[in-house]
Amino acid sequence: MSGVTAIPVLLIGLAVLVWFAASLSSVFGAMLAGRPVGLTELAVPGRGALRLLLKERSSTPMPDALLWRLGVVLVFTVPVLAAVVIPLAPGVAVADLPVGIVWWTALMALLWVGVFMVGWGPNSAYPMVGGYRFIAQALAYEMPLAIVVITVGLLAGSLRVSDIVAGQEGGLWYALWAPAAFFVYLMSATAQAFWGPFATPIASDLAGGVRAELGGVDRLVFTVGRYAALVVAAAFAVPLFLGGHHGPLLPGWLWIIVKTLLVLALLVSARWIWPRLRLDRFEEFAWVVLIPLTLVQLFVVGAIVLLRG
Amino acid sequence: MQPGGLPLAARAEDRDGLPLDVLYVPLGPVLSAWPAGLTLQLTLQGDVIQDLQVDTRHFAAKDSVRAFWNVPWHRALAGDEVPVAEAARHRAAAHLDSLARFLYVAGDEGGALIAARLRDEALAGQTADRLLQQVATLERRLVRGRLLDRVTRGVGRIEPQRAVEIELSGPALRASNGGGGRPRPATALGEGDARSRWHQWLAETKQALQQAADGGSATMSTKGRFEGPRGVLGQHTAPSRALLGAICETLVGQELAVARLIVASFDPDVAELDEAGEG
Repeated sequence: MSGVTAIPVLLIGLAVLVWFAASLSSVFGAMLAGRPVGLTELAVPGRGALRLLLKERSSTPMPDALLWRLGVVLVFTVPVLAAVVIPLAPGVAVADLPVGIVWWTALMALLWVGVFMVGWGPNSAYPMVGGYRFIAQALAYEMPLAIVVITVGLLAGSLRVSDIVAGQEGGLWYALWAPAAFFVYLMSATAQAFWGPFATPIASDLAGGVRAELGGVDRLVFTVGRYAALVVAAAFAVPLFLGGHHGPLLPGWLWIIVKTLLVLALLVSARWIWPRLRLDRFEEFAWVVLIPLTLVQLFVVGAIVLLRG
Repeated sequence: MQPGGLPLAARAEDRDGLPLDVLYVPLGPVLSAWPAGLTLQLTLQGDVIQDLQVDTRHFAAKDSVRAFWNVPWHRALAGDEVPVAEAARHRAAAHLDSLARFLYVAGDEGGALIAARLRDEALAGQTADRLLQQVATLERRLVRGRLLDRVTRGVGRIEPQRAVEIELSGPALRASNGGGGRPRPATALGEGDARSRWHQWLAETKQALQQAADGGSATMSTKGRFEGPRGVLGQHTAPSRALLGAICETLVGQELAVARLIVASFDPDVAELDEAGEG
């Protein structure tokens, strides 16, 4: 199974993981609020989705309707398209492109455009400030993320995702070859999905930011898109850093699922652990600490690759 | 020209004397984790606040309704015998309520949920010892990694001298290193910024809970000054009036991004203005 036949598997997998992420987030919230936690948390995302589907779509005076609706669709489609290069089982991916990691990076960068359009469209102050915030945030995380992805490509000597997985067969995972890169990847991936400490464009201090004027089905598509971005970022960490399907005893596809769930749980929990970062201060940290750190990591990895021959 | 009935942005000189579009954006009266009924009419240029007007008419009570958080002290002012422990518990709950709102605005959803739960438990009669333990756990969470400190440091600073001039009282004054009465707890920083204010709330919550634990059956004396959760009550102006003054002073020149954080760090109570016959 490969190519077109893997598309349904990818879509169903994404949907289940989005559901899992939303339920898990609701479980963490219930634990902190001291509510009893049960299997009913699994119904929370469904209930929220149903409520949004029944609600009227909202609009504003003089919106840029085309860009606004297009932005919402973009926030949803970009992560799904980026996911086509992710291996679903040993040797199975929708498209194992020779430039796989470049495809993923380029697609996810389109999230900027989508989120900014959602902020720009409604002709309203808070969404607009939220949209600008995301551009500023991208300025902070995108450079370190790009360097990290290059680091992994350098280790494997290839931009093809299946080659990167093969490069970790029987050896150390790239998370151990390049721990700083792995850490920066997780941080940037959270920022890319504007999740948790990086939820600045949809922040509570902006009355909801870019999604302040979204109602009904638009809000649902936007929210699902955001979860999908988080899921795809977690899933992509598995082939890049955690050895893909490699692991003892269990079959490869199960290893991929287990590793993806663990990374996803880690990212989801960040929301309930840390306060939101202030962008002006994170910007400084990104350029003064993260970029030099990732560059040093890149040089160290380069030296390792040269020495190994 | 008014396309779609919306006036186009007018221009005015900004702080550097450059002509820039002026935008009028209201904050409130209804936002999550916002002092209910408060409206700030902001005048923005870019995302910098150039001017603001306070408006508290929206939710003005028809009859004189007592602000919920001040109830024990008003009863004492009216001559009732109020147990010290009961008032202390109410004070702790009020500070936890302010803290929950502040944490929500600062984006610490988990901390906000914990603070709100502790507030409810304090009002529902959970033992003071148990509450003290849980507040200590919350404190460890908030100081962990010093992230919240970094986010709130230097935000909305009121100098000690100025704090006295604008008649701040209560925790906000002590967070600016002024005002005696109550000994300043060790963890509070007294720098007059948002960081000092949330540390102050936390410290005074613990202090009040300790008082509630030790309280016994003593009642509050019916003479002297009464300090509610937000400041001295029974004066000609409500403590929240001074807090609004502090907000007006600190907001001008700030970016929209920190406006909510500053307001939440003072946390005025509009109901308090109503009861003082203002608003």
